Amino acid sequence: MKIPPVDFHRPADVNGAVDLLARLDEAKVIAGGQSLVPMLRMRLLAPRHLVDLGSAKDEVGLTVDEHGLHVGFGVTLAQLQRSSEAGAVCPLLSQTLPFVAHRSIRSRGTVAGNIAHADPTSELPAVLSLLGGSVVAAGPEGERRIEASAFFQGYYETSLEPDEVVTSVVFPEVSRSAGTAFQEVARRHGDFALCGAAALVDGDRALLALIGVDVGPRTFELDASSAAALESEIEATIATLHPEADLHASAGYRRHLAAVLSKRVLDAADEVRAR
Amino acid sequence: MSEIFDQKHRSAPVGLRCTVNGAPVECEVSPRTSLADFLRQDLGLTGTHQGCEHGVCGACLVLLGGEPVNSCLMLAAQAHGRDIRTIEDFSEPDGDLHEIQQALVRNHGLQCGFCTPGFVIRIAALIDENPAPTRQQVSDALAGNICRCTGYQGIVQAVLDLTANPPE
Repeated sequence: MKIPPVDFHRPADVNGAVDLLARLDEAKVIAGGQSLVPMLRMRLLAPRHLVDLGSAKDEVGLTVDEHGLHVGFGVTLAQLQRSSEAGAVCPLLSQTLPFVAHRSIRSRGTVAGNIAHADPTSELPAVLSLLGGSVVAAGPEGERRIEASAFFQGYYETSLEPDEVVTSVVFPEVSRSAGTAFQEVARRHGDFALCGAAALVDGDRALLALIGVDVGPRTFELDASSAAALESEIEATIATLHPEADLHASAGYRRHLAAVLSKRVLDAADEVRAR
Repeated sequence: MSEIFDQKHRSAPVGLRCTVNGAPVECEVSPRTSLADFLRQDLGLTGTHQGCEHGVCGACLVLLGGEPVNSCLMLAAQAHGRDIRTIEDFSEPDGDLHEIQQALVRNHGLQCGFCTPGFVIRIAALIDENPAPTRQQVSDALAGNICRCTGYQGIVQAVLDLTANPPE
């Protein structure tokens, strides 16, 4: 089905986009459009205006500073995957990106759009939450930084205001002493995950993030001082989860996957760390 | 939701300048037109097929700046300033088939052929990024393309046939 009637705007820069969002009724930002276009086609959304960020000239690309890796709003998932700098600062991104949709979707889908879309089974929100990253948003009052923990609010819901645009996503640098890993189970490689897990192990500290088990990414800090301690913490953590059932997986199967994947990623992260 | 059918709301056409198979294109398009519909209906390039129209089947793949994209998931208006290559650019009418197409023929990698243009584009992009993929890498790379005839083995074999595949 064609997308609903809509007017298409090409702002020259982010400020132009913010201005349009503030001025127009029922306007929606389009970046890569890899989630938005299907939603428009299925009539899940029917905005009156699309504000295209593809034409914004102030795209900054990928930069690294003391806060970590800054991913500008126009950077696609494929560009991030290709970047050796991104992989060096944050190996968890290189480990996770092959699981984010199919190659052809990654050609167009942007990192900022993926984060702003906040799909509950989306991989990068889990990575951003696990690493304690943040989102930089521009609005009529200027820019503000939103911590990942305050950004993701629920199913496709974030703390972004209707007239704000994500200008960059900041992934903190991962300590050289830490090991990370990501794994997921999907019907076929590249499809929406039934369940996925990311882990970071650094000394006695282990961080775990799960997707597909709640309304958004869930993160946990676990005691990794001994294998026995870690195992019992995983068990206790999984017991607190109440995933939804759907056509593709029952709640029980999702909880089972969460347990299996948690163990696998924590083991894999520990192996990476030991190397 | 009824407001979306408001006739006063007209989807004003937007300008589009891009390159398709090396030729410059300059026109106006409705913002409602997908890149797939634009290629097929406005430019008559019907080699780009549409199966699912929501990014699952891969039949509509084209190369955008050398990268594979689902032309059903992209609005034509978003192609402004971009370079597009479609299946029509892979071989001349009545000319020799492209080496990817020949490999698919040799390995029984197609039957009805509906999905084939998308597979050819995907395989071209895969070989460009990874000239020596393993069988597993080929399977993963082709996961975004659906074929209901072959069972995929012939398609995977065609890619391995074309590339210097390392021993597993």
